Amino acid sequence: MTAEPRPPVVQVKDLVKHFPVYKGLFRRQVGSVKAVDGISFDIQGGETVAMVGESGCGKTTAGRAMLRLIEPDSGEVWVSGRNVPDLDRDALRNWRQKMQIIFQDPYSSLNPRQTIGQIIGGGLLLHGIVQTAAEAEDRAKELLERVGLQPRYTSRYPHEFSGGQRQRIGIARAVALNPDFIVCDEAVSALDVSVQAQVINLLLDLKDEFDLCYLFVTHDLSVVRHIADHVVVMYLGQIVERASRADIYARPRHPYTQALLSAAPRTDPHKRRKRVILPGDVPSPINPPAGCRFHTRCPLAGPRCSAERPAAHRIADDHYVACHFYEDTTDPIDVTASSPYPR
Amino acid sequence: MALLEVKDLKTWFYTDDGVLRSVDGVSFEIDRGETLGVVGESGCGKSVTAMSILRLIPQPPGRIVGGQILFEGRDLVTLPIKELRKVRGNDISVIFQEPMTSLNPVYTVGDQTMEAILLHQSVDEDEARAIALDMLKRVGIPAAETRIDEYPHQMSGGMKQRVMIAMALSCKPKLLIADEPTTALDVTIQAQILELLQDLQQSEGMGIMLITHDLGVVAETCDRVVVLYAGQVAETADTGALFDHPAHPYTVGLLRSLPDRAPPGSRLYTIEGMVPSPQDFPTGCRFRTRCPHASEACAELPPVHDLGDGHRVWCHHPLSREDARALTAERTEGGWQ
Repeated sequence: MTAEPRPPVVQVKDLVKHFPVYKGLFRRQVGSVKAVDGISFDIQGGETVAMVGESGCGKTTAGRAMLRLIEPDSGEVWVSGRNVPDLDRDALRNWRQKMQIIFQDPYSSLNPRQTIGQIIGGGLLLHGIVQTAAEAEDRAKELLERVGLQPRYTSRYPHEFSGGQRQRIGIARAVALNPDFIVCDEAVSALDVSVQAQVINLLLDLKDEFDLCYLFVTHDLSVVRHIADHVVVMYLGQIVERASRADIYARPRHPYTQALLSAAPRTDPHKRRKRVILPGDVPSPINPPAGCRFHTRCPLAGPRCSAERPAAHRIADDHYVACHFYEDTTDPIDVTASSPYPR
Repeated sequence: MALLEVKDLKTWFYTDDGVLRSVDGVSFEIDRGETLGVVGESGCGKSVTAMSILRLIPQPPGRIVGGQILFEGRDLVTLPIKELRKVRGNDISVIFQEPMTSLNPVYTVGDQTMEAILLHQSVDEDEARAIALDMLKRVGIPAAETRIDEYPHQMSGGMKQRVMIAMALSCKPKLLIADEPTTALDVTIQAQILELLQDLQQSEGMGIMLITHDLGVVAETCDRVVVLYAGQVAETADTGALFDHPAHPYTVGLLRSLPDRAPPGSRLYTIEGMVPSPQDFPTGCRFRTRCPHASEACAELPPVHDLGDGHRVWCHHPLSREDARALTAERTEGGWQ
């Protein structure tokens, strides 16, 4: 953590991405998947913000819409001083130097027909950072060495590498252009425990070395606790709570955050806890529940929750919670009694 | 007598690249009413072990080349296939990782649940349907009366996994093999499914073999644990003992590299190198190429040390209780409590 505040490198304001759903012979639009529905947050320089939530909460869409890998419908995404949705084609391509992404699946995110040298060095040539293929190759070798692989691997192809090695190659590709900001989309989720620790260490080291900030999109709460400075909790396309890592883990205030943390298995067999078991599944994002989207599964829900979307209440420095009952949630609740499942 | 006793199991695969000794001398047992966790990283042989128990290994290239699998005293390895079919789905059931791909898309979930009941129990269709409906209700499928006639694609991942569990439990098996049953599910759904398995185990008294790579799931649900590495057992112990004072350097390394046991932002402990692929398994102790304690002795097969209370470790240099406690506790301080 740095002592003096720096201006945020990334600022997201009211980002929206809906996917239309078509049906019938004439492909009439019958609705839309509200994947990301008005989210706002900042990422400071040198900081890691983790975006957590379950399948379908929109966390991956949010990360991709920020980089315009999919076009957002509306909202602002300021990265290093420019509003990304406003950029024209050439300006966007140019600005991609500043913002990179590491994908979850190291098997499908590397072009199988390119050598590792081409994968890492391609962006360097495209952006004119180096002029010749030989220079690109040299830089690729340095980067491979930096991420813990043999420099001579530049002439090999992706299929020759294991999942952990491929993830290192994806990381080398992302940092090659010296970006300000990297989206890590479930970047360590597919890796085995022993390899995961190696990659987490590498990401932490590179963050300091290249002065990066990360948006870490993941569902793994123990990884989040380890690497994040701030945490954004999403549910059905909206942010339900955001706070510093310490606050989220010690004083979660949204009932969903509390349930999520309670459900995550811990590695201490002597502290088997009574888990907060949420009833049912996440509802469909095509017709999300009105009012607070969590009300169909929430143990605290009252009539107001199905009528009115809760505002984000600021309950402490940097701690916002979108819940009508935020004043009643200081003690994590026990909802096991209300679960409809047999026990 | 234990419910299931696996003795020196060897399942090898004969491929163009040579013989892959994916499971190479694995032994463990499971008692009635007990949950045994089988943990290890990709390629350690945990799924192959599970598939071997019901002889579901594709053959060729795979073959059980040695060992015994004693289920209530009968050796499943040599059991005639007709007899084995009476065990499969009846006495021993399996739940697979992917509920999305293990259900048949062209049959309703009711038909699929009834299939095993009709096969193994002497009941007519109406009775089988009643049993199936009862099972679907017990695993927590809302509006089971209507959903019994739905197809798998109409259900969410968590619901499909519940259907898989209902199918697996419909004949009241004595042993349930659950191969990564919650890996594809979200944490809140995972919590529901794990709780359901524990409740059903208590009411039915079945043994569960829970295969997972998630040490958190093991810590919260298992009575005993077997740690596999490269097709062999590294260590086995009660869950409490294993997390408190692991004796195998691999187990210690795994626990030390977990992010939730380390202070936030700290450098994580790492085990050097990668899990070897079956073509390149080292001779002697298979962990020796990555082990911080490896010596020349490790080129020989490791001996087994019995540490009492069922805690056994296959290693030339097992850690003492004090050393193990010190190494793993150091990381726990400031961890997620």
